Amino acid sequence: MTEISPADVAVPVVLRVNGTDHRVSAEPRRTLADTLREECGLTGTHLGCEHGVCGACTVLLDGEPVRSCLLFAVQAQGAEIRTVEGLAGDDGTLHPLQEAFWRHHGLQCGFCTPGFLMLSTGVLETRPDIGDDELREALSSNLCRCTGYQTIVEAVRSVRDAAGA
Amino acid sequence: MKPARFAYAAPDSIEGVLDALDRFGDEAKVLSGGQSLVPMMNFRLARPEVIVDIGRVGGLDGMSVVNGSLTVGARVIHARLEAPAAAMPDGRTEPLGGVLGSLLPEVARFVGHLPIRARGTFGGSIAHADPAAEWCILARTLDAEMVALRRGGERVITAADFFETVFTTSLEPEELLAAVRLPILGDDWRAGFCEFSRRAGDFAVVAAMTAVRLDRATGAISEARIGVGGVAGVPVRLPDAEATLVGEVPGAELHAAAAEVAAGEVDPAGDLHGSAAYRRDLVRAMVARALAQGAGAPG
Ligand SMILES: Cc1cc2nc3c(=O)[nH]c(=O)nc-3n(C[C@H](O)[C@H](O)[C@H](O)COP(=O)(O)OP(=O)(O)OC[C@H]3O[C@@H](n4cnc5c(N)ncnc54)[C@H](O)[C@@H]3O)c2cc1C
Ligand code: FES
Ligand code: FES
Repeated sequence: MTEISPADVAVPVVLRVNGTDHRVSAEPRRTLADTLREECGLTGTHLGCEHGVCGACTVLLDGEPVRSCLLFAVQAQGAEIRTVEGLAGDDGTLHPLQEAFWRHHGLQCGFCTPGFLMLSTGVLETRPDIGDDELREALSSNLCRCTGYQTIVEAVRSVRDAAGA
Repeated sequence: MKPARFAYAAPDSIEGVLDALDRFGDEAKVLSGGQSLVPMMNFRLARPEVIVDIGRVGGLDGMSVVNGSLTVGARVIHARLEAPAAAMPDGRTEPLGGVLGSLLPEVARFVGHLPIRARGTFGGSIAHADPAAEWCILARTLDAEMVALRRGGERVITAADFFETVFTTSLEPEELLAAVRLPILGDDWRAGFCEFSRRAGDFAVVAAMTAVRLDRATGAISEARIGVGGVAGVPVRLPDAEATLVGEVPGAELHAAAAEVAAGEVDPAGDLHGSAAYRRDLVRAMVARALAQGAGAPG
């Protein structure tokens, strides 16, 4: 018979985040976003709406951008998770996308930035030749209250173009 | 917000899922991609006692062509329908061609955003039964068949009987939607899909799908299907507008006439996304554009 985890008991969960195993415990109802922030201490993943609309919580799950507020930690066991903390090098060297967001003023308050960085990382890694229109459409997945989006589009486009050059 | 507490099971077989559903009945909810259920749980609009996660079950994510239909496993994610490939009768997996092969990607790109399409599933969308959901409109327009499993049994439910009202289907709590069968449209069919939403990725305010079959000898329409979402609690077919088309040769004037009948045939309610009159106007426009798109003309 299938094992049932009771509602009010935290169960052991192993999450592989940015190449490191985190052994944590989480009630089944704990979202991946909350677990990353509160159990793994990785607070770069932000929470805006908690219902899938804003994309602030975007992380990569086996290479694809997903909403970590719509995923329970127990579901993410066995997957490769990547968060914004994994982008820069160990010596602090910025990832090309982080560099480009900075150069192109792709952020103002910065609240949406981790989500946009993970979204664009996933998009450019899986679709390096993505066209301008498709790129705009992909970036429309997430919300930004500050920039007006144009600078974000320019930042991501510049990294796509530099990689293709 | 955070979801209420729930007990969690993640069976690794279909039998395990059916046992759990049988045991917990309406206390349980199936969790597939979570792109509709988890928002509702986070809002506490849904408070299931038990979650049965079907994400670890094999055998629910196949696509195959059998006996003139395309079987889409319930766990096929939206993204896979952007470039559909299916197991053919000879066992080989090939990109899906034909009318469905070009229609499915056209429709898939309207479903939410890229991260939603990476997790959300075809079967989840059908089971969730949002009246404006693209896959529900497609299923109703093509008279899809839903294959439901329960412990020790299987039944097939036609789309007309499946969608009951907003977010409500004729699936029983003990039943798992395993797959959906879509009829393969022959090359004498022309299909189109058009939707209006305020922003890319939003649910449609109104969406329309059309499929017409052309008589090879005369070029006249021998069979017509028009399905519309966003105007009632379920996606609806428009038999009067369909009848306008049959026997006629496709063209801008005919499409406009059918669209006019369609606008008169729906009875939408107004809400904050659009008044009843506005939705009626949208039905006229979306039906005309879907027909034009099917006929190869620019919408
Ligand atoms: C920001 C955002 C935008 C969106 N935009 C759109 C859009 O434009 N168009 C659109 O159609 N959808 C949209 N969606 C919803 C998305 O398509 C969902 O993926 C889909 O509605 C549900 O599929 P799921 O696999 O995520 O199901 P879940 O959320 O896991 O489940 C949904 C419901 O179906 C039931 N269920 C799921 N699978 C089964 C099964 N196999 N058998 C029995 N019951 C089952 C669950 O119990 C639940 O009640 C959007 C979602 C978000 C967050
Ligand atoms: S917090 Fe997850 S999408 Fe808004
Ligand atoms: S920079 Fe403030 S929300 Fe995007």
